[in-house]
Amino acid sequence: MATIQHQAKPAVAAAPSTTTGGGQRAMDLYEKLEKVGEGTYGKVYRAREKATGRIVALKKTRLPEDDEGVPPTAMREVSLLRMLSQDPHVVRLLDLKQGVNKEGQTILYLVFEYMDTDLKKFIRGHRSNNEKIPAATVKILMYQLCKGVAFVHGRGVLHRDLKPHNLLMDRKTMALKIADLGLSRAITVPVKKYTHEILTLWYRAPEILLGATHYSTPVDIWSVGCIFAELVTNQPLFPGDSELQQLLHIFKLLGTPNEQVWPGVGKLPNWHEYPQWKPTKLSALVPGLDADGYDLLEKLLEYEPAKRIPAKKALEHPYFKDVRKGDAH
Amino acid sequence: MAGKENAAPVGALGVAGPRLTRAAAKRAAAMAAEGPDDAKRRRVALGELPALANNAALAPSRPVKPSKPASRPARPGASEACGPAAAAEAERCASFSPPRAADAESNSASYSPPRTTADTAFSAPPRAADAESNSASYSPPLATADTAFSAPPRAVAPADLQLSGSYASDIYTYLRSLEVDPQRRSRSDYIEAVQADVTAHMRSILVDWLVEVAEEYKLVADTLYLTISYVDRFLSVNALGRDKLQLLGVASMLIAAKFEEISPPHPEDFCYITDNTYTKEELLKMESDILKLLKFELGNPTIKTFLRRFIRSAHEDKKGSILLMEFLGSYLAELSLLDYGCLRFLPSVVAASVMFVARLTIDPNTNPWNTKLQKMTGYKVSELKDCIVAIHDLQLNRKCPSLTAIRDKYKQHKFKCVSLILVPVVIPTSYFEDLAE
Repeated sequence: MATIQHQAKPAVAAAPSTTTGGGQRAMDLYEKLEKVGEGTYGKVYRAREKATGRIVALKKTRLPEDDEGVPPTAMREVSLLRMLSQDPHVVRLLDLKQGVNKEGQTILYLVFEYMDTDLKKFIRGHRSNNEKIPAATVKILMYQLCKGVAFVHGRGVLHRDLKPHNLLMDRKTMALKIADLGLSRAITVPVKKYTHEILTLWYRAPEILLGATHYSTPVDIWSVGCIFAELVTNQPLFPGDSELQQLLHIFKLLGTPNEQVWPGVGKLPNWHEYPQWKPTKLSALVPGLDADGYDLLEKLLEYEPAKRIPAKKALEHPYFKDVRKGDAH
Repeated sequence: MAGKENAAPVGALGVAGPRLTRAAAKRAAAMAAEGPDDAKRRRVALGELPALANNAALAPSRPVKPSKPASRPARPGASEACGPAAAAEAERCASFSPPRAADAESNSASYSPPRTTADTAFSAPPRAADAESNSASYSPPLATADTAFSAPPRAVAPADLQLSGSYASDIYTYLRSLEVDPQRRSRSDYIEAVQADVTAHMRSILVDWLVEVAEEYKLVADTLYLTISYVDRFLSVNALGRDKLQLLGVASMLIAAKFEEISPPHPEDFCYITDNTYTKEELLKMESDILKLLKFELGNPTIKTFLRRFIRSAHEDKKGSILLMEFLGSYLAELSLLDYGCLRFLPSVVAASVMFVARLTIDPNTNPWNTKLQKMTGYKVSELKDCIVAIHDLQLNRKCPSLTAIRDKYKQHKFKCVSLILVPVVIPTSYFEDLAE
């Protein structure tokens, strides 16, 4: 049986500190090695901490042209990471450097543990080699993803932008961590009104596409379902290029929803008459899973948000039976 | 005498619209008294309203940009009023310092501002003016969390069900652990232990004014509670001169709005509401200082966080009365923000006590506490007694009687006039006895 390889847990790092100093000061401590990407609000660099030689990821806030101070996305990400970084499946924020640049604007560097790849690159690598990701690997990755999401949701946070690019990986250990909380939100119980236009299109839940502003944890679960399917086939499940196309793509494959499968769907703001497609079997859409896998995928991609399986219940699903054995809880 | 003189200008100000600081209100009143400029002022003031409303209502990013030019013309108008208004104000009130002189003096590093100037800095606009401007000013549909409660879409129910079933208890347990975290909580004794210049009364004045600012910019309730929390956390560590207290207030609200709002107001909007007492650079510097001190830990649970859950859970079975409970609960919770003495209570204790007092107000003849509430909140009534008494005193106007922004806010029909509901003067002793097991 495949099990998750558990590396010995490192000693708990001290809480991230906040150091005053100019942007120059931050760069005195770190040597930028290369730019590795862009987050929600800034560039990301691979860097070396000069004092220790440790490799880190350095995320720099993009300065808005009209100076509005610290961007809301940065505030939310740092604040929420403070609540979440202790989980092994959420990327660890190591430090925070705050200062001013030459023009006197506030600038922030977030220092993260470095992960050498992300799920997007991992999937693309397999696709370009024309090979499937082994079933055991899919299961290990999905288990970690569900654990991370369950933790995040249990802390009252919606991620709202789960996609392969935001799931960092270590190639050697197959460790997977949730990253980029710039669009995340602390949720309240009950839910309240949130921004409508959130989430990368391909992984966006149908209730958001239909204009619901009172959405909650199920939107992340839909994203998890899309990622699951993509891990199995190496192809995105619903690659729409506009909101309408995204909806039509979903409806063509899963069937157009009605009041029977999704009570209340007809009252959502963007609802109107859509072509009536019948659902296609998941086994035809996503070849390569066993029966338990299809059952879980179906529960992740339920139309009705309230019926979509919560991440913490997904962890108990039979699909993960052999992975759970290795989990030292 | 003075009252009579003020009556007419206040009436004019009511027509003029948006509230500003006291200085700006006086300026506007003086301007209104002069015939030829009255029309001009009115036009400028009215022009502001759509921009402000649009700011609150528009989706983020692109639509926000065009609204800025619309809001700018108001400021030249305001500055044009400065000369004659200042002169008029000088004649009317000998102790009032001319804005320019005050500004010059405040720029001096060693300068310690006179008490009157400092008091002026955090005084709210006159009550009567507020009342009239409330009735006269444009009132767009509310986009606050409270409105969401007023008419929740059906789609909310399924999400609620899932939240209740799966994560609500996890989240509640976590929030309770967060609220006692020393790094996210303010000291309850910081006025005595840390502050040399800021007093409890100044803090109350600031809170009262911030309630008005939140109303003015149509911010959600959470933004207000987080703002006050950041102010208290900052003052728990840093001694502050009174001349910077209002700056701390607006910078905290800027941070809370960025964290919480879909479309937060701009820094310029916050400078404007202080009658430009502070520059944008000063505001952003204070923002940076606050974030540094808070270590970006912005998501601490507030009274509102717990109250929302308590009310929803307690009233699952009686949907009809939940609206009154919502507004009355919000009213009492906001009153508690005025009282520095309430800082010694955990937010969840305040929220539970608010539940008690609200239920008492609605039905004085029934014991407000029951085993269901005790189980849900985790508190016996004896653990809440001190806080209940504090909130009850606030409701009866025994504390902070001169600070009326919250009472005035909840006199409005849209809040079901809950601040006008008759309050039982005495809480029966038997209600404070712990329930039989």
